[in-house]
Amino acid sequence: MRTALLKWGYLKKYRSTISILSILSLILVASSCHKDRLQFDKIAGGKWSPEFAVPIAFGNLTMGDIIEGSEKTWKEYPDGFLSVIYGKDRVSSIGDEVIKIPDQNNDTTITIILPPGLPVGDSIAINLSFDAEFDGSGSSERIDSILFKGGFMEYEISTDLNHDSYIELRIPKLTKAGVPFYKKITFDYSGGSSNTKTISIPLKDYYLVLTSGGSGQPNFIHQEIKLSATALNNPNNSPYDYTIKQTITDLSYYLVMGYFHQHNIDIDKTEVVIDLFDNQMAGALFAEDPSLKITLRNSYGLPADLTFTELYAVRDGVKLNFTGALLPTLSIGHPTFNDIGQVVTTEFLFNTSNSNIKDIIELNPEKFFFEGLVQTNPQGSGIDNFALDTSSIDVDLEFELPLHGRALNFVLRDTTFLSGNEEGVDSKGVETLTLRVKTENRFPIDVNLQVYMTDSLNNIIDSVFDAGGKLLDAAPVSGPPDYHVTSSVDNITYITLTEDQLDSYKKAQKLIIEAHSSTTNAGTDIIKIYTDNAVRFEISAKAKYTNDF
Amino acid sequence: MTKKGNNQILGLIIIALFIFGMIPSKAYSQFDNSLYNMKVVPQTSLYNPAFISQYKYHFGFPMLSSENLGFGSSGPKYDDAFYRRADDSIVVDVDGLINSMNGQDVFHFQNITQILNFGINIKKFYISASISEIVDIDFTYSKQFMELLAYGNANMIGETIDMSKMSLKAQHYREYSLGLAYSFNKNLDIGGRVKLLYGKAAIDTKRMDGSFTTLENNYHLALKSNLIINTSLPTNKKDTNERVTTTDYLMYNGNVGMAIDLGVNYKMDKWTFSGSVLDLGYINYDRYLKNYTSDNVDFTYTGIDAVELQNLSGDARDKRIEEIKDSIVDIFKLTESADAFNVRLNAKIYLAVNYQLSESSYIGLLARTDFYRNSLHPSFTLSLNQDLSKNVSVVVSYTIANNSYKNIGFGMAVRVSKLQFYVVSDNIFGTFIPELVQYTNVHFGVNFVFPEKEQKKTMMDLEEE
Repeated sequence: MRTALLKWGYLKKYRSTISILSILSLILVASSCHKDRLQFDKIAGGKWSPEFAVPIAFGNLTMGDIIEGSEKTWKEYPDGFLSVIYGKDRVSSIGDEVIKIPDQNNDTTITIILPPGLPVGDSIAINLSFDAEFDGSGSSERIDSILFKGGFMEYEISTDLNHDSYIELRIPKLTKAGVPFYKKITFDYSGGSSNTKTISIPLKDYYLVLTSGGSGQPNFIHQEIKLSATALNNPNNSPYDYTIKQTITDLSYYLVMGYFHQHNIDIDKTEVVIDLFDNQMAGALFAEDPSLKITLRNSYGLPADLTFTELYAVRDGVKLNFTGALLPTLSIGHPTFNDIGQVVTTEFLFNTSNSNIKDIIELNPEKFFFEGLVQTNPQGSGIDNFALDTSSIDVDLEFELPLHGRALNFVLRDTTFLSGNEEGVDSKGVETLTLRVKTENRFPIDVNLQVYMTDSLNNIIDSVFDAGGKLLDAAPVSGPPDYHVTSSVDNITYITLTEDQLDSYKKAQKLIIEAHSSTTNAGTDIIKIYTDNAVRFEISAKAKYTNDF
Repeated sequence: MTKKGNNQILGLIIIALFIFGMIPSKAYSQFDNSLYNMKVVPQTSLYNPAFISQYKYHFGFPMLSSENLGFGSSGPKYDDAFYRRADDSIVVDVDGLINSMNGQDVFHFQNITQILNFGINIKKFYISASISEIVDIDFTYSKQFMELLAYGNANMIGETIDMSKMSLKAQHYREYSLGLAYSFNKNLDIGGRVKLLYGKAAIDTKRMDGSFTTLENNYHLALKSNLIINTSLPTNKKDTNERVTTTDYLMYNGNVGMAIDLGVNYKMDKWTFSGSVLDLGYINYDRYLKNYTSDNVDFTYTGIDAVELQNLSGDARDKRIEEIKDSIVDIFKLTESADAFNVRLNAKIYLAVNYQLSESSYIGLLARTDFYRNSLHPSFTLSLNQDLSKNVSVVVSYTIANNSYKNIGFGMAVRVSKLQFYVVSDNIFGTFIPELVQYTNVHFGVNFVFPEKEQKKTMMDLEEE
């Protein structure tokens, strides 16, 4: 007890010191505790797993938007009704490749006799004419007139006259700007037994009217010559000859008239690609009013026929010939002499009533082929022709598939390659992604979608939907003949991608997108598509994301 | 006064204090309540300028006269925010953080370092002065907003997240104070203090009106905002090539502010009633300014118009995408300016009543209310002060603050000759196990004290002798 009291007394003596030490200890311990217990240096981050909901995209997609920029493929009627157009134009060989004018050659000899004792320095002159034949490219062809675009007329004249002389050449019906052709050629004797002169005249822009040679005979060029000789102090060795060689070569024309008889003009094999069915895998499309229009445009001034040697559609190697009234040979209209330079168009329309086009469409063709032969003057004779250097016969095939009909489980499939997928959308950390697609459909078509993720060999790794997701519900339509959509139909689809599916997406090399479509009432109703058909859509997403920070 | 009369007065006071304190439903406040009644420590005048030190004069140990450090969170504790993994590393517990939040919570941090302190009794006057560096941070946030950050908006579709109750006020400033107390008679003391303030840095959300809604059916994001965020930070200096030096930062004479404190202390028999109002004032910031403003932004993001983009080609599409991006950024972009601004100090009211149990002990009841963003944040402290000797005093306290009811405080002041040491905490457990508390503080310091004359010896002193 005493010891305890002593201790207490001792403690009392140093109470202040002890208290100070206690305070300092308290502060030190507290400081130490904060440092030890909080251990901010050991904080190693954490895990953040938010789930976000955001709007992605929206829009009002009209049929007008879809066809914008591809007017060649689409045809819009005044009421907005639409057709798909597939066509191809094939142009024949042009005029001067078909109607050709051969080179011409004519030789003529003129004899002159100088009067005996003709004083030196006196002259004599003679006038004469001759006709040079002008042949067509065949025995049955006849050339009546030519407006030259090119070519040369050459004269080579030789004489044994040992005196001075000249020749004046005139072709009254070979004119240029209304002026007949005229040329003077001088022969000054300078010794020797023969004197030869050659001239070449470009024919460009000359207009030649040939003189009729009569029935069954070739036409000819009428030419006039004046020959004048002046006596020199040389012996008179009469008779003397002048040999005239005339050639007309490398002829081309702006316009040629005559009768060109029968030429065959090839219409080369041509394919019309119909991509409407490219991605179609199954189902059927029942088109109501498909048609094929063949348009023939002719700027030759001659009658002609077109005979199709090939006219068929192909799908997966299956070939179906196109048949119809008048086929395979169609008559081609032509411009008359009053319409030189004009194009005469002849159209032939083949539809379900005069052809097998419905069968062709139901084949869902990939391509359509045509090839043909144009024959000029098929009747053989009886009509004058003309041809321009630019004349041609165009063959234009145009399929028109009005968006009028019905579709039953029409399946379209497309493949998207995901090369560089890892550099695309960064889905790292995304655990689940749910897309919400809300549609307000004013198309009379419903669409079910499936998306397959595949490897490079098209082996399916995963798919987005278990059994397809309905994106669009077909809108109801009114009755014939307009089949307008009467009201819109709303639909909401949720597309959920789990973490496994997102992993599959990262591994996938390709996406195969498959859309199943039917028209209203499961493909039983006939519909029409107009430019004002539309779908209003809103796409939003929920994504759960995890990040270690 | 009879014992019965004393009890009636005590009862009335307690009821009044609770009515005053319970005006708002939340019990959030700052700290350092236990020191209020520790009369032997001159720094009690920081909380009531009417308190007159019992020493003839005193001055603080430079830089160590008063170090006050504390935090309070009405929401998560450290232990809620982190957990320890098997590998001994500590990770953020997002669920724990969110689950420990209430509808609206406040986090407060304060550090006051007294550089110099001085006080002197001249007849009936007590004059005091001090220089202090003060860091004061108040962050108010809603659980709903934190849930948005933590969990995203997918689980809040159709809900409107109101951001108008969120705020941040953070300041670092230096305080030069001069206090004067006057003892009218043996019962009544009054005092006041003028404080000249120099702001060093500040962030103040002057206006925080806004909301965020994820609309049902389409997840459209509707944002409304009407914000003013004022900042005065060294990082705002325009010429970034020239760095702000520590001297520039600490010794700047601009950003001037003023504040006053007022107090009264009335003794009535064994009862002492006291009250004070502190920090009535503000600082005007005028350098390194940046104000961020959005005026009534009302925007709903609906996604990208895919059809519009579809109809554009190549460069036009890329350009349009850039335009969309820019327009969204512009909507969220806050307008910047560099205008001077004021930041009010958080005013505080202390009301206390003490009852003298014996010559060396008394109990006290203190209600403190902080004014922050036009709302009141009360705290309550019941304390027992005991002089163990003329040189050693202790205080034991119980505090309700920050939705926390487990705050046992302790303090001690010791004088050895002219040197006084003191340390006080409102939550002694928080001092040692800070991870488990929502509210704690520690306030300690060293003073040189000079008693005017030999004080009357207490019974305990006589016993010691």
